[in-house]
Formats: sequence, structure tokens, C-alpha cells
Amino acid sequence: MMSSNRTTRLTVSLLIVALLALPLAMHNQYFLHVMIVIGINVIMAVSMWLLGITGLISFGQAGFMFIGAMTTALLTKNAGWPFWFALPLSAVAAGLVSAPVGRLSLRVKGVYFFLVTLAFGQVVAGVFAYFEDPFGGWYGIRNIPPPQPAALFGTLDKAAFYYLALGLVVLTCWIIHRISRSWFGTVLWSIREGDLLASSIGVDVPGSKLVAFIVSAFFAGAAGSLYAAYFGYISPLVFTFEYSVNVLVYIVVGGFASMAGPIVGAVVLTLVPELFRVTGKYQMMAFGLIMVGSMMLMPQGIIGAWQQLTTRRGRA
Amino acid sequence: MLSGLVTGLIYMLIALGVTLLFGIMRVVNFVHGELVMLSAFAIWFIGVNEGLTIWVALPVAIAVAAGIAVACQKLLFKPLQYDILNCFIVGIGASFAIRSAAWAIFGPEPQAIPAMLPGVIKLGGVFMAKQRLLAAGVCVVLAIALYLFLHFTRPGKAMRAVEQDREAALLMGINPESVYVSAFIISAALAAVGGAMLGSVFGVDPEMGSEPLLKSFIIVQIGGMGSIAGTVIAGLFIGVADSLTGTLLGGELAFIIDFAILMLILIIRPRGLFGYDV
Repeated sequence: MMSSNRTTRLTVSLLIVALLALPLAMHNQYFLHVMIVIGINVIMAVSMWLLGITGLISFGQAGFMFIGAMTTALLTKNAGWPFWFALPLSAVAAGLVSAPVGRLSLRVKGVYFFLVTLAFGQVVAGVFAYFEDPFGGWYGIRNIPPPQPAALFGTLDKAAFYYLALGLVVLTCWIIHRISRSWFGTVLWSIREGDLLASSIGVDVPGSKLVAFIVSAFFAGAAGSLYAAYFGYISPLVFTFEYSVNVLVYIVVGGFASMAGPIVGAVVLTLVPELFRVTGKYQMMAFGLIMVGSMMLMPQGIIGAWQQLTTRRGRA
Repeated sequence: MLSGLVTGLIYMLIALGVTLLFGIMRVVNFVHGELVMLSAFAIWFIGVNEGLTIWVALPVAIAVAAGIAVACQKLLFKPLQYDILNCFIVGIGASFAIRSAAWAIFGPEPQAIPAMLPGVIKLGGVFMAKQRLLAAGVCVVLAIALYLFLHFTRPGKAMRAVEQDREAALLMGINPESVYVSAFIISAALAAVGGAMLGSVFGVDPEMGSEPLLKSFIIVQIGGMGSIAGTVIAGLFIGVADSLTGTLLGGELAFIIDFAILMLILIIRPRGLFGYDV
């Protein structure tokens, strides 16, 4: 156990070093762009996974991401604040909204919770689309300023933004990893085995679920802030229910069992459509088919299939 | 006001299919909205493109929807042993695939189904399209027919028996699997008729299934999952609420009002008006 822990730690640090050195080796703007998109998707996948530990999936994650993105857009463009203040405030804004929403929607379980959060995501998009004055309506908000110093982030070179995204990804993954391995994380895993069972051993089931819901909304808000600052344009057509489902597909394909699952899923499923240049409606078809296929054939995801493969080989 | 009620009735008809499947086998069928869309396209294709009458097109549409529903049941839901969460996720995947296939085949332009009953009628000083009245009438008749079927016929009683206790029904000589198949067929038929009504009132396009599905989720949750009476009452309620907000505040806010009602129900009575705990 100890040695496997050490190899994991070594692999992760090697990976981070490699990612840090990446722009030096491959200074291709399109490549860096794909890496930044992967980073945003990884933050979303990991944040959804944290609540997913308890067996609940929030289909409103895109809604919280939208709230974060909108906060950043309004603060940096209309109020003229620097991005570095807007980023934490966006995450906090998403977290603040999630508290009452979670308090109510967690009164129901399982599929009921899916449906309520699904409706919530639609409501967020609906509200932002309805009020054109601050939120820009269906047209969204354009020309969101990049982070300061603009000379570094605003230029055509994406390397600085790549490091920003990488930093946020590593920070998010580290925090969520620590949470999932903490005492609180074990509480979340115990809820997965059944609400009644967990409460019978003294776990505060609704409270723990609520905290996980808020933390996951917090990081979705941070991802939204990053999205707004990077693309400079947000609209209700970006943060849709379909995007929430895409994030879920990352987790399903990667595997629920460990945090490596959502990360691997997000990386693979962002890269593959880019490689094949699958766009628009066919991308949705591909995602739908991948989702059905992996649920039917590989219910434990890539990580689960890999672990099964390695343990079988180890026994033989 | 009246036209909102008609829309509410159509949504109620679509929601009845969702609640029927949930009640009997605890499956939330996410493909239901795509059945609505595909059957509307089937009617458009046969009735408009091929020029045949609606009385040929409607049975074909029902057959198409029922075929896809049973295929989903046999290929997706049964291998997952009707596990509620896995079926939900797989249903989303299948629904996305079907919807984008419809985009690729039929294109994004909305198509129109001609009204089965053209013309308008004056009802107490308000002009109503006869087609809307027909749609309302069909929805009411089918809801009553479903209730009568479930309570007064042998197959309907078998369905309720499986709903109450699968094992006990098995011991009474009922084959749950065949009950599931007939439930999927009935639910698909309701979706197909709903699609025909929706298409003749609002037009046909590949996205037309997603809003009724979302609405029917809200309706079913307010009424209580698996309860026919709850679905009917919640459908009427949402229809009236939608048309009121539509006239007072504008149509786009209707969905937000629905969500507020849903949240209110969750505070007061999390299982819905007539539902049971899961």
C-alpha cells in the first residue's frame, strides 16, 4: 500500500513537471488552446465527481458555472475590477446560490434530485436570457477583459493563460483530493452505501450532502470565471443542460471509483472530438453513443477497466 | 388563457407516459421526449410528404414510437436491470443520439402538420382554433381511458399488481416482463398522440421533444411520481399557471414560475401531491 502510494505521488509530480514544461516543447497556439479547454473541463468534472461520491449527480453544474462566469463578466467588464478579485468572488457567488438551492433540492433523493437540479440549470439560463439589461439576454456578454496584466494574458500568445489554467486545475484537484480522502470524504463514501445505513452510524446525511453540493458549486463557479476570462464571451447557449451532461459523460467514461476517473474522462473526451474534428450535431451524437456504450459495456469506466485488467494480470 | 390550458393538457398527456413507466417499473424514461419528436416527424413525413391522411399517419407514428420504446427497453433498460440511476443516464445518452440523428436527417427547419380540423370556433366571445379544441378533447379522453384501463380491465389490473408488488404478482401468474413491454407500448402511444397534437399546434422540429419532457418531469414531480390523478391535476395546474404568467409577464418567464412552484412543493411536500416515498 505504502509503495503504491509513493508511485502515485511520483507519477503525479512527474506529470505536473511535464505539463509545466509543455509550452516550452510545443509552442503551438491551437494545442495550448485545447489544453486550456481540457483544464476547464477537468475542473468541472472533478467538481461534479465530489458530489457524485454520495451517489448524487447535479445536472445543474452548468448553471453554477454560468453564475460564476456571469459574476466575472459583470465585475471585470462593467465594474472594472481586476480578474484576480473576480475569480474568488465568482466561486463564492456560485457557492452562495447553491446553499438555498441545495437545501431545498436535497430534500428529495436519487432521480428526483436529478430532475430538480436539471430544472435549476434551465432556470439559471432562463433568468440570464430573460433580463437583457445586466445579463445581455440571449446574445450574452462580449468583450470580457482578460486577466491583468493584459500585456501577458491579452496577447495572442496563450502560454500565460495555459499556466493560469494549469495552476487552477492543480489547486482544484489537490483540494478535492484532500477532501475525498479526509474524514469528511469517508462520510461521503458512506452515504453512497445508503442514506439510512449512513445515518444509523451517526452520519449527518443531509448536512454532508449539502456541504459537498456547495463545494462542488464553488469550483464550478471558478471554472465559469476562467471560461469567461479566457473566451471573453458568454451566453446562455454555452452553459446548457447538454454541457452538464457532457461533464457527466466524462465521469461515466472515466469511472466513479477514484478522482483519476473524471480527469482521464475529461482529457480523453475533450481530445478525441478535437482529433477527429467532430463538431456540432455529430458531437452530440458521438457523446450520446459513447455514454450508452460505456454504461452498457464498461460500467466501471476506463479506470475501473484498467484496475480490473492490472489486478487480473497480477493474480495470474 | 384557454390556449394555455390546451398546451397544459398536451403536456399532461406526455407526462402520463412518464408517470406510468415510473409507477410500474421505477424507470424515468429520458427517451420519452424523443418519442414525441419522432412520432411528430413520422406524421409529417407520411401525412405531408407522402400525402396520405392522418388516419394512416397516426397509427404508423404510434408503431414507430412503440418500436423504439420497446427497443430501448430490451437493449438498454433490461440489461441494466431497471436500475433507476443507470437507466436515467443511459436514457440521456440515447436521447442525445436520437435527437442529433433527427437533426442530421430532417434538418433544423421547423415543419408544419396541417390541422386535422381547420377553422375557428367562437366560444363565449373568444375565438379558438378547432384544432386546439380537438387536441384538448383527445387529451381528456385518453387520460380517462388510461384510468379506466388501469382500474377495470385485466391487463390494467395486472399492471397495477406489478406496480404494487412485483414478486406477489409473479406468484399470481403475472409475467412482469410482458407487463413491462405493454407499459412501454402504452407510454409510447401516449407520447405519439402527444407528438401529433403538439406538432399540429406548434410545428415539428428536432428540438420539440425536450421542452415537453422537461415540463412533464416538473408536472410528474409536482403531482407525485407514479400517480395518474396527481399528473392530471398538476398538468392542468401548470397549464393554467403558464398561461397566466404568459399573459401577465411574457412567455419566457413561465418556466421560471414552474420551477418556483416545484420548489414550493418540495418545501411543503417533497413526495409531490399524490406520490409515495422512494
